[in-house]
Parts: sequence; C-alpha cells; structure tokens
Amino acid sequence: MTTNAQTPQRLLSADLLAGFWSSKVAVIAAFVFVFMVVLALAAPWISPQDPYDLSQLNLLDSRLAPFEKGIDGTVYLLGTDQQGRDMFSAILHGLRISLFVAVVSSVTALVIGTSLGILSGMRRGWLDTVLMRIVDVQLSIPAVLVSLVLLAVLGRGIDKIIFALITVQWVYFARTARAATLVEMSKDYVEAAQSFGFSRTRIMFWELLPNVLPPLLVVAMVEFAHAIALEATLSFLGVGLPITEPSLGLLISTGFAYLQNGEYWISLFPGIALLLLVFNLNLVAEWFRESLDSRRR
Amino acid sequence: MSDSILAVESLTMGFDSKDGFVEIVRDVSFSVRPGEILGIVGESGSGKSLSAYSIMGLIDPPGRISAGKIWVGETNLLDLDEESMRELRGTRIAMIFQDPMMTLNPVLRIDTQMIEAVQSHFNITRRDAIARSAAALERVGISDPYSRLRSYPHELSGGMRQRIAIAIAVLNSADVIIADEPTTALDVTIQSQILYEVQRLCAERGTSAVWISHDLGVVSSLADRVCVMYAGQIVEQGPTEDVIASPRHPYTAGLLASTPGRGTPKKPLSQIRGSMPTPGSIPSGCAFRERCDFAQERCLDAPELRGATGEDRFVRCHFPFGENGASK
Amino acid sequence: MTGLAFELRNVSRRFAIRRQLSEHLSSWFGYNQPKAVHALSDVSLKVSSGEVLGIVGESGCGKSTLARIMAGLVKPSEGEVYFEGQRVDELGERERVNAMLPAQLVFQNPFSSLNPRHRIRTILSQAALLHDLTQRNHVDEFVSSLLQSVGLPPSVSTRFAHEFSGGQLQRISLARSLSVSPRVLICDEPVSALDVSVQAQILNLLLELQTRQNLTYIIISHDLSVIRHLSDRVAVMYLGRVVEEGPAAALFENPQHPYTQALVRESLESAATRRLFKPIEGEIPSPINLPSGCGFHPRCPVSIDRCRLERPELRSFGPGRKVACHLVEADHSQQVTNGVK
Repeated sequence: MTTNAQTPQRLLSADLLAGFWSSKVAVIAAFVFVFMVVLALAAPWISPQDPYDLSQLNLLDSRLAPFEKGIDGTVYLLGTDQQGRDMFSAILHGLRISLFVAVVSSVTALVIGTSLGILSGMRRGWLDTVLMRIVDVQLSIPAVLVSLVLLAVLGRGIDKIIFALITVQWVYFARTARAATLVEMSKDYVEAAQSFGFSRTRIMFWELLPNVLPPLLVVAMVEFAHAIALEATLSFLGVGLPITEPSLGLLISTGFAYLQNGEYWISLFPGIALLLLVFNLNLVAEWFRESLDSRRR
Repeated sequence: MSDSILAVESLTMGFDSKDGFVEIVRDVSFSVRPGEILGIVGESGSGKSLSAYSIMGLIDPPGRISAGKIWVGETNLLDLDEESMRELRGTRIAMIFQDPMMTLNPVLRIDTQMIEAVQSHFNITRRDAIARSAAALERVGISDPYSRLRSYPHELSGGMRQRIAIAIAVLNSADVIIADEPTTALDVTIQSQILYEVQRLCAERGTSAVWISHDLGVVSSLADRVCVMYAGQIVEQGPTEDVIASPRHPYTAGLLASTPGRGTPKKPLSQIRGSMPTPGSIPSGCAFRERCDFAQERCLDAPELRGATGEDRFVRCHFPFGENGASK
Repeated sequence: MTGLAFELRNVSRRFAIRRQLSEHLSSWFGYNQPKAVHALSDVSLKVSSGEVLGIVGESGCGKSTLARIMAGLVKPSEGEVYFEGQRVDELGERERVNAMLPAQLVFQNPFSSLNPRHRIRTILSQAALLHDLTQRNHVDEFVSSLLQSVGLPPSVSTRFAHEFSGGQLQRISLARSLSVSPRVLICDEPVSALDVSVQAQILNLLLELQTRQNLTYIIISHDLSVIRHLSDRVAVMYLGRVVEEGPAAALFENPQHPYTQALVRESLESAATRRLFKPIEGEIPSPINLPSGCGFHPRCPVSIDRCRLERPELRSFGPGRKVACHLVEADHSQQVTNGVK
C-alpha cells in the first residue's frame, strides 16, 4: 500500500487543469482577475481619457456624479474627481500602477526569499539560525508597520515602495522555501546528487528548486494580493506613491475627503476595483493550495 | 458457520471513481475458529489490508463494500449502524495496525487512554479500570505495568508502543484480533518478542487472530491456516504447513521459490516476472495468467476457488500443482 | 581477488545532538556533558575487490552510517579510510567525493531516491556528463545501454519516476549508480522496500551485474536471508560495533556471538513450520547512552560480570572468523552454545 501514496506529479498536470475547470469558483475568480489584468494592460488604448494629461482635464467637470454629462457633452460613466478627471480612466491607470508595483515586488521577493530559504535549509548551521531569527522577528511585527517605518525613512516614490514591499515579503517566501527544502533534503535523491559530486549551486537550483516550487507558487499568489492591498494601504495613508502616479489606494484616499459630501464615487469605485482584484486572486490561490494539498495526501 | 467466530462471505469492496466502481477486494471468503490464528499473505495491492479495514467498518467514501456478509457470531456486521459497530469494536473484534500510533493518542498518557477504552464499554470504577489495564499490559509481557501506564507514547520505543496497542486490543477480551502488518516496522529481535506474546496470548486465552502480512516467514511461523491473496482474490487457502510444504497455486509456489533464504546462495532465484496488476487493470479470466509460466487457453476463463474432497484446502487455479499426484 | 577495495581502520563516527539553550547554559557551568549519538565505534573492516561483504544488524547499529562513510558522503570522526589503497578520509569534501566516485551508494527507497521532476534520461546521464564519461551527442546510446543492462527497454528514458513501479524504480536507481562506471556498489537495504515477488528479480539482477561487470558489493540489510543469499563474507553489527565477522556459510551455520545466534534463530524463514518463539529480551539500547562493557550484555542470556565491566575486543577465532565475546574467547564457543540452546 506504500506505492501510490507518494507519487509525485508534474507541476501543471492534466488532472490539475481538469480539476480547475470543474471548480466554478476558481474559474470565475480567475476569469475576473485575468479580465482586470487585461483591462489594466490595455488602459492607454481603451480608457476614454489620459488621466495624466492635464490638458485633457477640465476643472469645470470636477466631481461629476456617474453618468453625468460634462461641459463638452461627454458622459462620465463613473463620474469624475475633484480635478475633473474621468474616474473610469483613472481606475484603469491606477490598476496598472497597482499591478506593476505588486508584480515587481512579489517576483523580486520570490527570487530573494526562495534563494535564501533553500540555502538556509541546505546549509543549516549559523546561516540558518541568523536568517530564521530575522524572519521570526519580522513576522512578529505587522507588515504595515515595517513598511511604514521604512517609507518614513526613505521617502516617497515608486522605487521606494517596491523596496519596502520586497523587504516585507521575502520572509514569507524564505520560510516556506526553507520548510519545503528541509522535507526534500531528507529524500535520497539529494544524497545521490551529492555522491555524484554535483556542486552545491547545481543541487540547489537543479535538484531542489523544481521540487520546492509548488508551495511557493501558492505563497506567490497570496503575496501578490497582499502586495496590492499593502501598497493601497500605504498610498491611502499618504506614504506610498506620489500624486503624479495615482494607484488605486491613492484614488481612494483623495476621494475620502468628499465622502461626507455624499460624493461617494471617487472612493467607492476604486475601492470596488481593489476588492475585486484582491478577493479573486485570493480565491484562485486558495483553490490552488487545496488542490496541491489533496494531491500530496 | 456455527463453529467459527468470524466469518467473511463473498466480501467485495472497492472505490467509486470517475471510471466507475473499481473492485479492490473481490469475492473474499474466510472464517476463523475460536483460538485459531489465520494468516493472510499478499503483496501490496493484493487487497489484504482493505479486507481487514472492511471487517472493522473503517471504509470511508469513496470506498464502499458492494457485496458480502461479515458474521461475528450471529450478527452480520454490515447490517449494523455506526453506534452498534462502535460497541462491537473492542469487545468482540479489535484491530492492531502497522503503526501503533494509529491506536495511541500522542498527547495522552497511556493510563488515560486505557481507562477510557475500558470505561467506554463497561461501567466500572477508575480503580478497577487501572487494575484491568495493568493486567493487560502484563499479559503482553510488560514487566512494570504501573510505571508504563504513567508514560506518554513518545517516551516509549516502537516495540513497546506496539505491545501497548496489542494490550489495548485485548483489554476488553475481544474474541478476534485483526492485525495488519504489526511487526513490519520492527527489528528482527523485537518482532519475535511481539510474535511470542501474541502466540502466548492466543494459546492461553483462546483469542483468535487474523494476521495480515506480506512476509511469508512471519505468517508461516505463526498461523494455523493461511490465505494467499492476489489481485483482490484468495488464490489459495489451507493449513499453513501444507500450503508451505506443497503449494498448489503457481503464485504461492512462485512466492516461496523466490524467497532468498530457500535458494542456494549466489545462484539465481526463481522469479515471478512482471508485477502485481493495479486495481482496474486486472486481466480477465485468471488474474495471475499473465505472469504464470503454466497459463493455457483455459485460463482465459476465471477459475473458481475449489476445494479437494476430504481436505481443508482450496485453490483458485485450473491446473493446480500436486492434486492426487498429478502435476503440470 | 586483486587487492583491497576498502580498508577501514578504527573508524568512529559521532553525531552531535542539537542542544537547547538551557543545555548550553548548563554545560557552561559544567553540569552536563555535550551529548552525542555514537553511530559507529572503532570499526575496522577490509573488503577485497570482487568480494561481496554483507553487513547485518538492527536499527541503531550504525550500518547506514557505515554505508555513507564508504560512499564518501560522511566523514569519520576518528580513524582512517582507504579506498583502493588511497587514504580518503583526510581529503576535502570535493576531492573525497571525486576520489570515491567509483564507490556508489544504492538507496533503500526507490521512491525517494530519484528526483521526481527529472526525466529518466536526465537522471541517468547527468553524472556521467559532469565527469566526462560520455559526450552530449552520445547520450542516447549511453542511456539505452544503461537501461538495457538493468533489463529495461530504452523507451522509458523520456518518462518520469512516478510512472514506474517500485521494482522498475530500483532498476533505474541501479542504472544511475552504474552510469559512473563504479567498481564498488554499496547497497543500503536494496530490496526491503520492494514486494516479495519483485525482491527476487532485483537480487538476481544484482548477482548478474556482479559477475558481468566484476563489481565489489557491500550489501547492508536487516534481512538475514538476503545477506545469506548474496554474501561471501558477513559482518554482524550491534550498537555501532562489529560483533562478529566471517565467511557467510560458516557464520550462519555456526554463529558464535550470542547476538548472532539470536538473529539466526529468530530470522523467520518461510520453510519453517509453526514454532514457538524464544525471543531474547529487552530493547535495543539508545546509541546516546551506551551500556558499559559489552554493548549486548543487558540483553545477553549468558552474560557474566566481566561483560558488564570490560568491553570484549574483536578477536580472531577459527579460519577467517572474528568475534567479540568474552565467553567465546574463554572456551571456544562451547559455553555459549550450551547456554542458549
């Protein structure tokens, strides 16, 4: 009865895909997410207005409610903000910036965290102790707090917020990568590779990496959503992106002042966009994690 | 069936999958008499463990028992509800597993677990329950039962844990113990300690046992009768000594001949080619025919488990060895 | 029988146990000694080339550590290791692994010894490519001939490990070891993870490979029947020490050490009919707290006071045989055999 329990499988096997198509929630969530990504990518071409081009803005059109007509007769689907900027265009471009920040920071954090995590699990000893203590300390402090402090020191700017997000995120990857590496290290194929005289780097990237990757991809998805939300939080708090690059968080923040006037749309629609993005991404990640777990059982 | 304490009749179990019902245990029948040790031998995938789990009512969906009867005395276990089944487990039939931690709870002391096991079936005081637990530990050869009772499972060695699992199994004087490879993970000298205690237990108290193992050596040294399973079916059944001395099914014969201890050192062993078919891809007719050196056209028809007259031996083969002196 | 494949002189190996902070503190104040697992103590062995040495013992006897020392994966704490005349224990990790490339380890569990994410072709060719034993444009023929030598068709080379049964995986695992043209194979429980009917296939393959490629084997197992079937010479280990050593046939026919006697008596063979077990009592001691004197004395049915106080040396006894027991030394085995039977 021992044979079938531990059959490892390829990362994206046919039955994983089949399971995906049979899960309604996963399909819808993935579809919504992909749709939003496509919208964000196509923003320069499909948005009715370039929100960065001040010459296209008309202050007389400021704070129009959804579906209201502007001074030149254009209809603003989702209304406008205090500068007369079309909210729909602003959201598309904001989505673009939010996704860009999240992709760059998550991928970099994945690379750094995974490398350090595998190294830590392989080498053990003092390196492991030091790295894991750093991870523990950082995990015990809320991510928002760490990044707030960093940004307070570094100042604002897209590069700085990416740096702050990487600093927060790599620990999650490092911890998962180390745990997975420890499991793999106990298997004989690693010892076999050592006995053939393979270099440490080769064992790390060629033998171990493909086997520790699946759980890391789940973490990557969750962290991607986390990065989007965290960036929005920071921008909302006013330490994130500068006003010249308005992400979703910043849009919500600027609209916040007008909420009490009943001008809900400036905050609400970017908020809904943010929610949809993060929520659907988490649903996909959750499905992926569950199906990986059930296959391992 | 009146003289048997446990009787399994035409048991068939399998799993519901997207390709339909896949049978894993196919039409298995055997019975155990009081005080008898019945060995069930098979390789992985032969259905031996799932037969045991079926008896204990431990099959969870998508697995299910599709046919058959399991008699303990006059009761058919498959007719019982979960509540009555729980009552029966422990008092009439008990199981020991390959991993004793299936029985033991890692965070509770041994005495807590044993007292609970007694009190869930009998209305007796804690004091009596402890005395009873200590007596059970003594019966499986544990020399200072009271100090062992106060320890946690992780403080004990694998052999000691398995003894305690057996003690829990016999705590409420179960009539039949079903043992699923309980000594496979143990060292040779520890294994023979456990086998010694089981042998003594069965002899002294008239407890019956169904002993499941892949190891012909264990089964042949312990069991009174043996069933050999292949691809979910019993292919040969009979008194252990007879089956070992003159196997009639080619699979049994092949298994025996391929054991390294029997061959001449350094000379090639006779081997069975191929490997056990997986459930769902079992050949039609005789399940063994594709690996059998003696397969003929007639083996395309599934053979029945047949008994020879006047003997307690059964074999599922069209051309069995050694019946009435005839051979292939 | 030309020369020695391996010589081990007084090899020991201890593994430090990771300590808690509290234990660190108390050892600073001199309260407790740093603890260590004594995996191997003072083992001396010679393996001639072309020979099959069987090493038998139960869990905790150090047989797996011994295998890893011989494969160059673990460095001994003390003692000297010579591989084909060259001293290898003093080399750095890199040089040691390269020098001992012709001594390959075959693992027990074929399900975990092959990387699940590589194709069989990659698994079989990468070590040979690294060490220039084949060229990139000859990989196909190289892999095919390896697969053929272990009785598998060349077509399997594009598949992944999870597509195979245990027996097939063990063949692939063997082929991988053969890919670096080894002269010695160290097999750590080569068949114990396999089904009974498949074990014979692998044992036959091992025998066939040995005669065809003139290999030296070190077979490590808890299973006496496997050891008896394959070995020329056998070493019995208990708690990190060799307690008895000798030619296979003589050792199994007339075991001298009480532990060997118990093992031989209690190893169950299917030929046997029903029997009553007469087990030796007690548990295997932990290799952290070794018993004083002879490691076997707490379980030994014939132990005397001297066994508790003084550790018996491994001494020669009869042609090619060695045993570590005071009683055998005292009176040529008579006493021991009488005591047990």
